Parts: sequence; C-alpha cells; structure tokens
Amino acid sequence: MIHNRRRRIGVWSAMVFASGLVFSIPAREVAAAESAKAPTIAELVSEAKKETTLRAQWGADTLDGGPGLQKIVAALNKKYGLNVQSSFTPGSNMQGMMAKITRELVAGQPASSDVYFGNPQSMLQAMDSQSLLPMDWRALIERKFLPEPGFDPVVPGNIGVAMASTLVGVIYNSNLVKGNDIPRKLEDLMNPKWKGKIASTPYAAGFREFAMPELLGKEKIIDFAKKFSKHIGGLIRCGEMDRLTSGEFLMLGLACGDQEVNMAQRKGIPLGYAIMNDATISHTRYSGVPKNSRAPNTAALFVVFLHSAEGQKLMWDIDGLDFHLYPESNQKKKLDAAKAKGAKIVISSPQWLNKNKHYDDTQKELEKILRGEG
Amino acid sequence: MEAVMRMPRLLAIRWRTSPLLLTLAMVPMLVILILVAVLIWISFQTGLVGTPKATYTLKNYTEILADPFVVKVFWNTLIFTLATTFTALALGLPIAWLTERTTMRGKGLVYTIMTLGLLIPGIYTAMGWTFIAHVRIGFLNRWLMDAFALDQGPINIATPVGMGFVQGLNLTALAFILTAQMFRAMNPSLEEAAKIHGMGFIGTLRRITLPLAFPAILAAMIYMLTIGIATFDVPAIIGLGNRIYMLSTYVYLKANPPDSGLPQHGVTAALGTVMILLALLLTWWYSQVLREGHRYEVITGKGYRPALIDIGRWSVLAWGLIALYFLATKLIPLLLIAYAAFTPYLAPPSWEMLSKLSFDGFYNLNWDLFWRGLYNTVLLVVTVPVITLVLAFCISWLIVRSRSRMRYVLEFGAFLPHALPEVILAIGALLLALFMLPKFIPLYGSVWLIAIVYVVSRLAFATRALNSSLLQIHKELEEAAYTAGLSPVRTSWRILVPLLRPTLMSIWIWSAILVYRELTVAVFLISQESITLPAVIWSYWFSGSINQAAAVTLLMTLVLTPLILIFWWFGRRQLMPES
Repeated sequence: MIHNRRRRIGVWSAMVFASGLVFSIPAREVAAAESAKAPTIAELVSEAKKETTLRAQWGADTLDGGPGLQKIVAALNKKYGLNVQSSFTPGSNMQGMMAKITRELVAGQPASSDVYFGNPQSMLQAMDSQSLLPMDWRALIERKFLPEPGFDPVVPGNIGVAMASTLVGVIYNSNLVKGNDIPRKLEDLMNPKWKGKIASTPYAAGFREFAMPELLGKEKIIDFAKKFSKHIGGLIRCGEMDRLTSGEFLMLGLACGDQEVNMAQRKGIPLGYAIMNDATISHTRYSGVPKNSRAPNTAALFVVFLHSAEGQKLMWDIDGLDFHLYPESNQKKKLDAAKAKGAKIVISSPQWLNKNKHYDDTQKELEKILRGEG
Repeated sequence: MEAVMRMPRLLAIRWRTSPLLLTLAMVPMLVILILVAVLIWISFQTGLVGTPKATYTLKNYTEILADPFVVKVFWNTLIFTLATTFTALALGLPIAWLTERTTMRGKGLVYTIMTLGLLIPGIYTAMGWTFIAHVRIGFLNRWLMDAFALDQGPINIATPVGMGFVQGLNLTALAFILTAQMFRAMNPSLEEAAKIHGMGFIGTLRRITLPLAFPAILAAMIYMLTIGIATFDVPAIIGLGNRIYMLSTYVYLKANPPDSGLPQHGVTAALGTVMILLALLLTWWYSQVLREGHRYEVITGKGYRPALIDIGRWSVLAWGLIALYFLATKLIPLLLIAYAAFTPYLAPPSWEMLSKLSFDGFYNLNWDLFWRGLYNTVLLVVTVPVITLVLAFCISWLIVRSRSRMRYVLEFGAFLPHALPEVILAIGALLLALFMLPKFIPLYGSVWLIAIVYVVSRLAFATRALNSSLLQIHKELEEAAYTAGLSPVRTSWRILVPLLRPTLMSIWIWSAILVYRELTVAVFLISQESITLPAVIWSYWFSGSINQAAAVTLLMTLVLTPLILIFWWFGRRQLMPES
C-alpha cells in the first residue's frame, strides 16, 4: 500500500514536472504564482487592485453558491478597498474540483476556480499534486487559533488553511423520520423499514474516516458497507437536500456535515441531524489558492477575510459553517457538547489522513461497494 | 447545342478553380477525423495522456472489457435503448398512421403537438417524469399507494426500462416524423385489393400495411437505437442518483468522477471507441435498410391521393391517445416543474405546500449565472446554424454538382457525424483542447469549442436536406448565370439561395433549436466562461438544487417559446401534407 502511495505521489510529481516542460505554463501565470509566495496583506491588496474578477467553482450549495460568493466579495471589497467582481459556476464535488484544477495546471490552462474550497481528502490530493500556492497563512491571518491537541489547521507545505469545521452524522427528513426512528448509531440505519429509502454518498463520506483504526476500524466498516450497499436506494451528494425534503430519500447516511441542516432549520425546512453515538468526526473545510489562479491575490485575501470575525459570521449566516478554533464559534459549542458526552471524536485533516496509510485504498474500496460494484 | 455541351467543362473548371469552396468543405471533415483520431490515440494511453510522457498500453480496453460492472452498463444501455425505441414507435407509429391514413379530424393540431414534441428538451421531460412516477416522490405512485394502501409505489422509472419509457416519450415525435412521410406516400392499391377480396381491417394492417411500411419502420428504429446509445439527459437525471448507469453516464463519470478518483481519460476514450464501433455498426445496418427500401414500392405517382380509412367514432379514441401523449410529455411535466420552481423547498404537492408558493426561488437565483448561460446559448444559437449552413452548402454543392471522385469522400465525411455519438465528439474535443492544441489556439473552456462540436454534429442532417433540395434545381440555371459572367459566389447568392430558401430556413431553425436544447456536449465542455443554459439546469440538478433547476427550466421554456413559434410556423408548412 505504501508502495502504491509512493507511486501515486511519483506520478503526480512527474505530471506537474512534465507540465512545466511540455506545456510551459504561461510566463504571466508563473510570475503571478511566484509573486504570491510570501507577500504581506498590503502587498496582496496592492496586487489585488489589478485583478478584476474572482471566479469560483464549487458545489451550488457550498457557501450559498453565487449569492453567497457575491456577499463575501462585496465584504472583501469593502474591507480592503477593492473593486473585484465575482463570478460563480456550480461545479463538481471537492475532490472532483481538485482533480480538475490539477488537470488544468498540468495542461497549462488557467484554473476553473481562482480560489479553492475543499475537504481534507482534496487537500491530501493537493499535497500530492502540488497544485496550490504555498503561502505563509499563519502570518497573513490576523487572528490566533485556539489550541487543539493533535490538530494543525495549516496544511503541510503551507498550501492551504482550515477555515471551518462541521460534525459528521445523519441528515433526515424530520417530517418522515421522528422520535425513536431517528438513528443514534450506525446499526439503526439498517432497520428493515428503511430498505431502499435511504441514501449514501458516492464518496463514502464519514465511512472512510470511521474505517480508520482510531475509530471503528476497516473490517467492521467494510462489513457494514457491504450490507448497507444492498440496503440503500441510491447515492446523492452531501448538498442534495431537496432529495431529502421531497421524500425521494428519507435519510442521508453519512453526511459530510451539518451546515445544510443549520441553514434549513432557520428557514423552516423539515430537516434534522443526528450524530452517531458510535463515533463522530469533525470534518474540516480548507481553502487555498490554485497555482494557475487568474486572481491569486484576491483569492488569498478571500481566504484571509474568511478568518476574520466578520468573515466567520458571514460564513455562518450564508452557509451554517464556522471554525471551532475561534472562541465565538457555533461549531465549537457543538463539538464541546459531543466531547462532554464522551463520544469518540477525531478531527479530520490531511495530516491525520496521511498518517493512516490505508486511507486511500479503503476509501476506494468503500466507494466501489457503495456503487454496487463490490 | 454546342453551348450545352460546353457547360460540364465550364463547371469542371469552376470546381478546379474554387479552392475556397473545397477548403470550406474539407475543414469539418478534418475536424471530425482529428477528433476521432485523438480519441482512438488516447484510448491506448495511460499516465500523462496526450503527451510524450504517456505510456502506450491495451490496459484501458482490457479494463473495460473484463470489468463485470461495464458489462452491466452495456446490458443496461441495451435494455434502455430497446425500451426507448419500443415506446417511441408504439406511440409515434399509430399517431402517424391515424394522421396520414384515416379521416381523423384536426390533423393540423396533431402536427403542432408533435412539432412541439421535437423541440422540448429531454431534460424537461426527465425532470417532469421524476415528479410523476419516481417510486417514492412521484405523485402517481403516491396516489396509488394511498388508494391501494401499498407500502411502496408500484411504478419505478428509475430502472433501464423506466428510463427507456421516458426517453421513448421524448422520441415519439421523431418516430412520428420519420414514419408519417412514409404513410403519406404509401400506395393504397394493395390495401384496396385486400379489401375487395374480403380481408378485414386487422388482417390488412397485419399482412399488407405493416409489411409495406417495414423498411421505413426499421430505418426509424435503427435511427432511434443510434440516438438511444448516446442519450445523456434522461439517464443522468433519473439514473445517476439511483445507481443505474448507462454508457453515456458511465463515460461522464469516468471523465468527471463523483468520488475520490481522478479523471480516467484513457478509459473514457476506450469506451468512446467501443461506442463508435457500435454506432458504425448500426449506421451500416441503417444504410443497408435504406438501400433495400426500393424493393417496397410505396411511393405513388404525382398527384396521387391515397384513399383515407374512415374510422368514424374511433376518432374519439385516437384523440384520446394523442391527448394522453400531450399530457404525459408536455403539460403535466410543465406543471410539476412550475410547482417545483415556486416552492421554498421540494416536497410532494399538498395544500400546505401550495400555500407556501412564492417567487423566492427566482429572487434568490444566481442571475449572473443565468445571464451568462443565456448569453452563451444565444451566441451559439445565432452562430452555429449559420456556420453549419455555409459549410453544408459547400459540401452539398460539391457532392451534387461536381464530378470529382472527391465528392464520395465528402459524402461519407458529412454522414460520419451521424454515426458518431455526440458524447464521443465532445470527449475528443475536450482532450484535444486540453492537451494537444498549442497555446495560440486557446479553445479550452471557450464557447467556440462547443460551437465546433455542434457544427460538425449537425452537418449530417444539414447536408442530407440540402443534397435533396439541390438535386431538384436543374444546373441549367447556374450555367446560365456563369455564361452571363456571374462568379460562383454571386451565382449561389442570386440563384441557389433564393431557390433553396425554404430548405435553408428549415435547417437554420432546426439547428438553432437543437443547439438551444443541447446538453450532452455541453456538460463535457462547459467552463465558467462557456456555460450554456441547459448546462446551468444540469449543474443545479446535479448539485441537488432542484428548485433552482426547475426555476431556470421554466425561464428557459419562456425564452424558447418564440423559437418554437417560428419553427412551428415554418416547420408545419414543411411537414404538413397539402390539404
């Protein structure tokens, strides 16, 4: 397995190296990338004034899609005196977007998204592919993180930084799943009454982490996934809440986090959220700047801004997300409550995933099982 | 007499001295060949595909041929395609027969309904039918569950057969158009002879009418099988979330993995190559059927009018079938999409939900994205048909008027896109633009890349239509113009274009509408800058924002209405028999 991992890293390194040789990334982009390596906020602002548009591509619901991006960019413009326009296009999932950006970098094309928003898995991909710009995030971010033993919010190589966290559990349609039917542990999902009526994700969200030795272990989760694959009705992505409210599926197990439910409940949409007693994961959201970004300075300011108190509040307002390493965080309260109950909790990060050498293979195996191929 | 004898030489000279014409005709051929060659080339590569660093291997082929999951995908595609063809013919054929061979009233309205059927995007019917007959949220299932106290909905469209049924509804109008012409031209003498000899209606239908119509039905069937293999919208909307994969969606997922995998371009290209082989096989069969068609003499002489069968009161039943088709494919899906667009969140229709209807979905829409999608779509709708027409005109003129052997190459090349599923052309274009085109041709992510694929994929239809019309114009008219000193361009402009105007208009409008509703190519090639309106709908749907997808669908339908009316006005005149 280690050999596979090394080979994968080797292939990625070769791809990126070859990209420089074969496709010769335009000098302008290389220059932009180099100039963004160790700047100060003032320098970023000065350079960002020359950039006109911040293009973003991620899930339609992430950070409230286009309207959310507009709000963040408007606040960014106000804070730093910029005049940047925003342009949003719904894209694929976080790992899919990282793969796309890397493919574009390899081919010498500009990135589809000027700023990247992803999860620990995609940051692990980025560590392999070196597709994000290294920046001194600790120096750029104005606030200090609360200490969290065993968790470093900055991605190795300074290619990205954590900006939000959310707890993994089960999302359910609260009109159709009530009282004792609400699952409390993984086995509850296997209740025969849910057969064909619940969904999982194509990327095995939650299960891939639960399969690590620190949590429930590979053997147990693979066995569970084999039974669960025959039990579920389909695969949906984490943001597809309409498919739960419509009743097409009654539950999503496991979901990527609770931010959609935070938002839905404010609007009176019938969704509920349950954390499993077996274990839980605090899923971390990261951001970074693609090397082939067309607006790297604005993108860096975007990341820095979302760490400010104003940025964290805005993120909570538009997407139900904030970062538990800040004292005012709503997610911190939830995480503390879960810890107080004695739940087994792991904070997911690329460092933690990297430590678990079987993670990649386990995720692929789980995905295959859930697709019905296993 | 001498002047007449001189004319072919004159044309031959013009042919030789018209490099512009030849160049214009050859450009799309070259594009098609390059796209196919790129696809085949990449299908033998792994690693950094499209570059000298790639490794050449047969692994992609062994991987797809040895994988039992791919076998399942092929099996699903086969069932889906057969169900599609069966449904389309089961509905389209009787409606065509009723319209052309019976005394049923209101035929103009039938043509209007069926023309409308050609124009509505497949994504629209797929979304609508998800709300109608999905096993859990379909209102039909919910009604049946309530009425008969069932635990689960008895109808499930999230199966290959179910999806084939929905796609069949989409293609019913095409089946109608393909077979109506044949019924219109059918010589009724054999039917009349059978009647004189005492054969009943059913016997005549079974032993005379259907055997006579067989080649046209078979041709329509093969044509729809070819479309079915590559259809993306219905399998994507209904199938993906329910783990029912077809070839087109499987290729899409390999190119855009929803999980942690990286894009597998080599495997995608290998699958594409297999799809090309399948499509070529079907196209060869199609051409064989058309070639044998002359053995079935169904074409009447000029001015002949076939006797119509009096169906009397059965006319009510016939109209019932047509009304049901209209309700099932247009009206109910539209109402359900409108409902979804105005609800704050997606839930089954109820009085409570109806009381919550509002315009919030429209207020909160990403209007910047909508306008970008509309701008690109309009740009494509305006440019693609014009470029298609110019290129198709050059190709058709050379095929019909020139005596060079080159015309056979052009004829084959122009028909080739018909045999190539659009998804294949899209993947070829993506790989070409991403990895192989030099930097001074920045087509990746550009709307012009989509335009190129649209143009080449419309050429087969455009050249076929123009060939037929050009053959009807005697070349004496052009020869007279040349003798009078007009250049080839002026001759075409002053003589041919006015005479071909109905055909040109028909091709233009038809191409424009196909471009407007097209999704398969767009989902592979869109970017921030080049997103189209159907792709906006797809991206909302795919990321779970069904309300917003419904809102954009509704807006798109509103924008489409004038185009539909124009098409209906022209198309109806082309399709309708003279009364």
